[in-house]
Amino acid sequence: MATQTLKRTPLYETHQAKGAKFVPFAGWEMPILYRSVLAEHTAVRKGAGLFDVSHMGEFFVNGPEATTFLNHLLTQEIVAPAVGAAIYAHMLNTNGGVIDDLIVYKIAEDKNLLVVNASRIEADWQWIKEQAKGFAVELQNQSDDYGIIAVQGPRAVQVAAQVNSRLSQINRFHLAQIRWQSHDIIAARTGYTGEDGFEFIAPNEALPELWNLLEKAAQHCSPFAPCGLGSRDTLRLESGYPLWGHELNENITPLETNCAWVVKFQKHDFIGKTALEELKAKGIKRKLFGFIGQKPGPIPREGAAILDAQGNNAGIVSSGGFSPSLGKPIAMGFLNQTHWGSKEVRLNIAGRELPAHVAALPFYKKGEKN
Amino acid sequence: MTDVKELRFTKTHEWMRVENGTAIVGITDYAQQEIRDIVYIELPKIGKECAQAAAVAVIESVKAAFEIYAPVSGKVVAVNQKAIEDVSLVHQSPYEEGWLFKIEMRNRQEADGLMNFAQYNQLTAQAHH
Repeated sequence: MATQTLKRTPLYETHQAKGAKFVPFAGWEMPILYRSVLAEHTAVRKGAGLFDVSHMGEFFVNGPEATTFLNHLLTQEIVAPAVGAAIYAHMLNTNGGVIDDLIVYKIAEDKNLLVVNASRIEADWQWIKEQAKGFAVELQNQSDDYGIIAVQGPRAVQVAAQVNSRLSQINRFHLAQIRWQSHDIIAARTGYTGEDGFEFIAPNEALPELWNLLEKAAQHCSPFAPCGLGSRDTLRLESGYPLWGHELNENITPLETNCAWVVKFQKHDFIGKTALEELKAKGIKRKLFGFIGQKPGPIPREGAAILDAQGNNAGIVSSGGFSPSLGKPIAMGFLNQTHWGSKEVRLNIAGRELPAHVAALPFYKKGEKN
Repeated sequence: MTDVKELRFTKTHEWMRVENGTAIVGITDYAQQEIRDIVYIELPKIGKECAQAAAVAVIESVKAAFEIYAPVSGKVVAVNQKAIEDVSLVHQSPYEEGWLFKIEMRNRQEADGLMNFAQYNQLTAQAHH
């Protein structure tokens, strides 16, 4: 049986030279870590970290009806005057289930860039093409031509500003279009770590040199580390951010998660609105909560059962791991309606039990005493 | 300082050293590097009887849980509480301060079936990509 070759980002050689350990992810060969997940996580929380997230997808949605189409396609309010804004949104099916979560970067009144999850590029593209029929829009799937480098952490903005000094003036969830070494790059003050920072969305040719510049710029900023997908996951888990395939999928609605705010019911219409209104009327039956371990282990993992004190089934873990900032095991999971009042649960990981208390998300908030 | 040439090794990357009929057990330097980012260690209860190659302990990294196997059969007579409290010991000193548990051996001949240092090195050299 022939194995499919994994794709590599334009930064593959850069990672190799740094001694990265690679793993397959969504059909890509990506760095999981360079030195240590814990060290890389700490660098992002205390200084700055650099991530290659070029495996993600980039779609341009342009044309006179682009904004109208996006308002129909997504749960969020995409407002034409909000040029320069970055908007986190969910794209639903007609049952209200999440096809993907993504960010819309509003570049111009009639020009939008959607950045989508790597594992969903094909599914998203097919869906968007189908839904765009009848709208005066022009769609471009440029996932193979663009890549993304993220610099994240309390010192990340200083680092990013060395690419272009304008960037320190850009607000959170906004973007700047910059020109760097004859490349047109979108620099957005967004991220997936719970820290401040920028994501540079650039054509493939720009990436290796841009990475080198950012790394050099970060040298004086300690701690600094190149970071792999391992720390990307521990950081987003601590921050209570959902990951498609875990907290979100085609059978989970935003109303059952901590992302209900992305649904703007006041909009005239969007795909999935009717289903969500019905669900709201009936009442949701499960809800996403956070869990913090009361012992150092075992470490909760996706699929672990959530039990109450009597051993009854109370729900299921969607993501689990170790929180370096809290120094404790943490998990996100769905609790059944019968158990929403629970304060203490038991997480059952293949027969090994971790007592945990129910906690509000996020587990970690930057700048606060955690 | 441990002379690794005195140790015996399993295919599952545990090492052991015998002192007066007691086997001191830990995981190898190769194993701690592969596991990377240990966050939790679960050791057997003192008094537990174990068979050779039985899973008796668990080491968890950020990403996965790894079973640790008894190199020889016998009774667990000690566990390293310091390693439980500071899991980084296993990374920093896998053959010394990072020892995991001690087994009072039931059958000394079981140790003869284990690999010596040269053989273990060959195993890891082949495995390494």
